Amino acid sequence: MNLLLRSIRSLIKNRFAASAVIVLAIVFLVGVFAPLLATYSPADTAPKDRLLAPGSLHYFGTDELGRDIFSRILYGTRVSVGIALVAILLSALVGTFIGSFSGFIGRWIDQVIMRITDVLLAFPTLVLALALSAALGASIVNAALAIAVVKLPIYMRLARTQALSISQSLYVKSAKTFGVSSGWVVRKHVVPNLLTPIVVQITLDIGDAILLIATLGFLGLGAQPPTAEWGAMISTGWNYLIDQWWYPTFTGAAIFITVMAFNIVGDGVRDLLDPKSGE
Amino acid sequence: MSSLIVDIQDLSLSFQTDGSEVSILKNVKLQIATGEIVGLVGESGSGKSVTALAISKLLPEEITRFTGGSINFDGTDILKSDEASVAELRGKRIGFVFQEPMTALNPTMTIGNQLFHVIRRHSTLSKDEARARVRKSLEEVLIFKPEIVENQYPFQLSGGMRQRVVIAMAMSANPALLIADEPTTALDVTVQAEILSLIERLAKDHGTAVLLISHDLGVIAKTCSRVTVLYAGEVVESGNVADVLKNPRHPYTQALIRSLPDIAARDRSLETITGEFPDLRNRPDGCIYAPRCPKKFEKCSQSPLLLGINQLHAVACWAEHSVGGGA
Amino acid sequence: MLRLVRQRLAMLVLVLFGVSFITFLMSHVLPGDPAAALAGPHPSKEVLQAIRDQFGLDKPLPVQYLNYLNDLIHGNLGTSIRSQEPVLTELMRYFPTTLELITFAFIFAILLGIPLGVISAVKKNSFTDYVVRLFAVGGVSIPLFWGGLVMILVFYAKLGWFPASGRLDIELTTPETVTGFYTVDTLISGDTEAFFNSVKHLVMPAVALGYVQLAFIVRQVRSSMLDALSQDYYLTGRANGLSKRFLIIRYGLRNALIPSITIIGLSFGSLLGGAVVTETIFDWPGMGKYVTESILGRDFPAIMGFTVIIALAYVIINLLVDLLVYSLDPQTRK
Repeated sequence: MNLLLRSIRSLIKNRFAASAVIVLAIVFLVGVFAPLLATYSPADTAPKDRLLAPGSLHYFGTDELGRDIFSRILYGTRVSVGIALVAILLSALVGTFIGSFSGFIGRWIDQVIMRITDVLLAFPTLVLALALSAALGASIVNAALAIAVVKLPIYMRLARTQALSISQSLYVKSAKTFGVSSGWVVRKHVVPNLLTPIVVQITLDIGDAILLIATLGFLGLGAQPPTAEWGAMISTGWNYLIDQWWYPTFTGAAIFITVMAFNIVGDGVRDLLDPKSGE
Repeated sequence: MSSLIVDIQDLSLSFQTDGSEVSILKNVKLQIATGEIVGLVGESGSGKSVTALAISKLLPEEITRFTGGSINFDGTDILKSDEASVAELRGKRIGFVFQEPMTALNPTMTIGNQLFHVIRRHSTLSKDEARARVRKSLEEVLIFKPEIVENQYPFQLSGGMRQRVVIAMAMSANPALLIADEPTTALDVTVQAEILSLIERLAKDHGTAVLLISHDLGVIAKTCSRVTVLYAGEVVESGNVADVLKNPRHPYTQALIRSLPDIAARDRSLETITGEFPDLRNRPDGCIYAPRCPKKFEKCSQSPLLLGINQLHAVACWAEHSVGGGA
Repeated sequence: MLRLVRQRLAMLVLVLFGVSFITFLMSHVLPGDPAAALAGPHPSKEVLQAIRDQFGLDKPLPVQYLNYLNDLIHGNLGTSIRSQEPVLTELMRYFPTTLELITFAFIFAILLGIPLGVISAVKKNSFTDYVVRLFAVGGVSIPLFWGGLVMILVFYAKLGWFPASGRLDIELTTPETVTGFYTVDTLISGDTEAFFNSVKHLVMPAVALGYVQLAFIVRQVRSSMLDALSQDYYLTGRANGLSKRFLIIRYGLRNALIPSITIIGLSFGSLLGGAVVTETIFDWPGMGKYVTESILGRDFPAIMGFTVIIALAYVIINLLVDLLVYSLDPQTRK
């Protein structure tokens, strides 16, 4: 009985992660093959077909300009997920570089850099992203930049902590004593030890970045019309909520499902690579 | 022998983790009479603590599987009782002292409050009476300023002081049995003797039986009347302390005694036991000690029974039973 | 304790200094032409020059920063382009409204989140645990604006249980402002009908906003609770026969809260961010709605003023949380 219960549990558990991975695979495929899968062009307007309910011609209905919502969601995958990936990778790259530099060099440079992270963390994420995109001017590229900046302190601190512990750890010290080249030390010890927590953090952050992109889009600060971006689509769609519920609902569901899949996989990756932080 | 407070017969249990099953105890037999101090000896991983935790069913439920035998505590069949009725025994009839006093107390509750709640739980005392009992309990474990200590948090006390508090909690309800799992191992040498004599005195005053778990034969020799030796989850020898320590019959006990530094120092160099500890995921058939045993012969491929060589001394070894055993 | 307060206040000054520098960068350096940003849509050349003169935008940047800092210290956050009123005055008018929303969202998140986290940890790997965890992942995955829309669709449009916008039905009289919290002010003025009405208006936005926080709290409490349950002292407590309830609360939760409370506290501050979206969706007339309207109206000074105030509020809230945590841990209290 006990054994049966346990295997059912582990199955459910695996199923969670497994289905999340499948969802992500679908999301990526949809992003790549959007032009093949889409039933209409995302930008083609058809004034007489405006605000149609979901049906066999338009799976998710049409918007206020008669554009096919299903096709726009497919194309939106490229924008929302793609931009989020770019923003996080950029942030991780720059943050890790600055952070590990700070940790290895130490002294006053380290102090200054850490105070900068304090200051960046003194803003709620969304507010800083919002202010930055407003200052840079509303566009999807600037929204991505803003998100990269907002996420920067996390990577800086993470990389710094790792760099500090690595540079003081026995194996690096002993490698130095034996006169091993520092390039070798970095390649053999520093990179793998630094990379694990960074990779974990990246997988955990992608979902959040998609949400931020969509939120900025929703507030009118991200992608501008007529770009098919999920947040921006809901931004116009919610005016039609009561009478044309499908318009914002399907788009939002796309965001929800994608982000949830990223988060479940992110948690899984964390438990896998970093057992200490798991349960 | 007077009446038994604990009677463990042929207890076998295993842990299940990630589909694999590890046999932790096999046919463990252990008896403790009322008011008696019994030692349980073995190296780490021998199943001493598991045996102790099993008595009050404190093993992690999700992974523990009892595969045979019985535990009888003062007339209660522990393994057949539900969680609620075993929980009734904990703290009230069975006291527990653990190895690590530094982490054994709740860090966010004052010493007095922790004792207070245990005392209230097991008595019908009013709040004021319970408060008075807190002080009395602390005095009993030789804490001389209970009015100060009761308002302190664990982190403000030394390890020895904390262990006294843990003992005070364990003894607060006058239990019939005190299980002390390596109570002095984590303490300074000077404090060890104090804690041991404290346990000894309290047990005598309260008529409490003690199961003293230790890897230190010196501690056992000083404190216990009887001793049971565990190896890889099986009892290899048990009997009167004097008999077992002076005249060990099992090769493992003999090796254990030879490895004691103060005995070894006299005439020979320190001995270590050669060979490897068995893999308990596949408990081997036959004598569990055979792979490391210098005296092993064909018969050892069968499991030896724990048989008495006299009324007070039993050993699980074919060499003893077939050659000179039975006397 | 006093030393800590002094230390943290010094830190606060340093951080605020940095915050002012960042907002300065965002308002004076990042925009291609700050004057154009300040002027609003389609300014004439004369207007732009007038703004440059007025704000000293032709001066060197360090001078501009000192001027900016001077303005901030005197509470001058600029003038709103849309209303021509001082931004600080406007924000202060909206602040209690936002504070009421985030307070209720926070209370909802805590009241539900802590018990759920505890249950999930105590029943680790049970069906209940999986449901709770899925619910929590949902909270950090749902787009706040969409969650709000779905709630409006279901609980307002379909079921009609709760109002979808504003703080009070229009036919009811607005209570006299004492605290700025309608739920409190209606009680002070003794208007129970308005009180219940204001609570009804709060439910959907507070739940929508609180769900994200709830998810954070559940995950945090669960993991530190699991940690507490595996500690030696918990086993000692069990071995001493303490009741399960007492063990879970005083041995488990009490210790789990120490690491959790910092994170929970910090999540209170981040509600300020979520409020921007929630207030927009639920037409809640607070600072968040003010800033979305400012974004649509290209009211740059208002956006920047909002950013400064939020950062200030966030830093102060976090300081208070820090001190609260400090006072809760006996190890640091003595």
